[in-house]
Amino acid sequence: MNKKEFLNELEECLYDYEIRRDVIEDILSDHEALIDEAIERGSTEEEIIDRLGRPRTIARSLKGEKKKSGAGYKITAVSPFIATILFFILGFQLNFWHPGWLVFLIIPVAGILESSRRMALAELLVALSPFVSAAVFFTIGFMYNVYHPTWLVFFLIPLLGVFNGNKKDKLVGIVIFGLVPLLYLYLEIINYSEYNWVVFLVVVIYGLVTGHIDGVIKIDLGNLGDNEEAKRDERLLKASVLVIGVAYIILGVSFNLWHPGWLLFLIIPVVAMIFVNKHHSSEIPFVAFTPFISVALFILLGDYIGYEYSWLFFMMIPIAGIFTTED
Amino acid sequence: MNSQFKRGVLELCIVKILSIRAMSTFEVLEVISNDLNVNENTVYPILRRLTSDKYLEVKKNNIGVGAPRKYFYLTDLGEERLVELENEWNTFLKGVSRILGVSYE
Repeated sequence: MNKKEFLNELEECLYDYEIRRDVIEDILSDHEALIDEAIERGSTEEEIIDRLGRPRTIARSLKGEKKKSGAGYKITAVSPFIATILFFILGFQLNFWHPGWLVFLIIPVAGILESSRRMALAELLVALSPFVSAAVFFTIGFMYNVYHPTWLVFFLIPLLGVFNGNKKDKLVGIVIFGLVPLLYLYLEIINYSEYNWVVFLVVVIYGLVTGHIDGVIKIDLGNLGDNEEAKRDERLLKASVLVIGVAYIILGVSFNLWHPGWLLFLIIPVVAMIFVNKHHSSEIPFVAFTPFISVALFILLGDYIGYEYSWLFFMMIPIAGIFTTED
Repeated sequence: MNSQFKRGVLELCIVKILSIRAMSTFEVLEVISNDLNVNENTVYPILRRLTSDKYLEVKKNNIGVGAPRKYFYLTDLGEERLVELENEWNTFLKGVSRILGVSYE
């Protein structure tokens, strides 16, 4: 193991212990300086790295550095109460139950902001983007009843995501996730046609050509080993993506069920996570499934029991979070 | 040896050697491991804790290339801590010596 590999592995192990980003950078810098000094004084790189021990052991010895930001945790802990109070004020005083339930997004956002000290700015923006997009989508949708084309705001998520990639990916990503939605918007306004959505095939074609779409599935199921069962599950997942895509188009074209038919796509990450749980030693906790389940239940039952009640399904996210959180 | 006891003894040793002169992490490790069988996994977290407890102060030395090298200085609070730890150690040693029947002065 050379210095770079050692520091990379140490960084990963420190992340596993949920140590703040600024602390991780400090620890990495210290170890880099230590290795450099040892080499300067006559050790070889291998000797000093061997002497330092395994990165996992070093990280374990530093786990006491974890979560020292008390104030941030307190804000995260009280956020459910703040959100509930705001929700009832908005509901009872202004009859603003929907989209007043959006105040519950404060809970995950507070959690993300609290842990933001471990993140680079680009990572933070990506982490916040689903909540910002959802808030914009439901607020504009409700106030002006223009859910379409407001849903395009969800492209903000992959658009910001590409900023974490390399230079080439950034450029292509901006074109794909920035310009394609704008082109679609332009077509919808200037030249309305029910086939304008075809422009989005550019995204799918690009993904297939570059192997990114295939890559997504591989990453989700990554490092499962080469056993037959893992390969079979990978094929099963790929097939499910195809089946769901076809089912969505059939539902849309035949029954005009574009909405809520899109909920089918939520099955893909859920199935992927189930497979990861099956093959990985580090299990994905139940709380990771709850956003998908709660969105599906909120939308599906919202029309029947009313959105003023169905938002309650979102409460399963913080509740599951509390039960899953380690002490 | 009990790891908590070992950490306590190491804390005393680190504070003691830094009372003589400021040192980098590598130097502390070198000096300590000359006499005791310890590795960096034990020494580095103690240095960080002593720093966050204000017993040590860090001064960075940018040497141009690579990461800046940190030098640890004993603070006034650290001096007091050293006296406290030395007293605890001496009391402990005297007690053990009496039990073992060895004269210790």
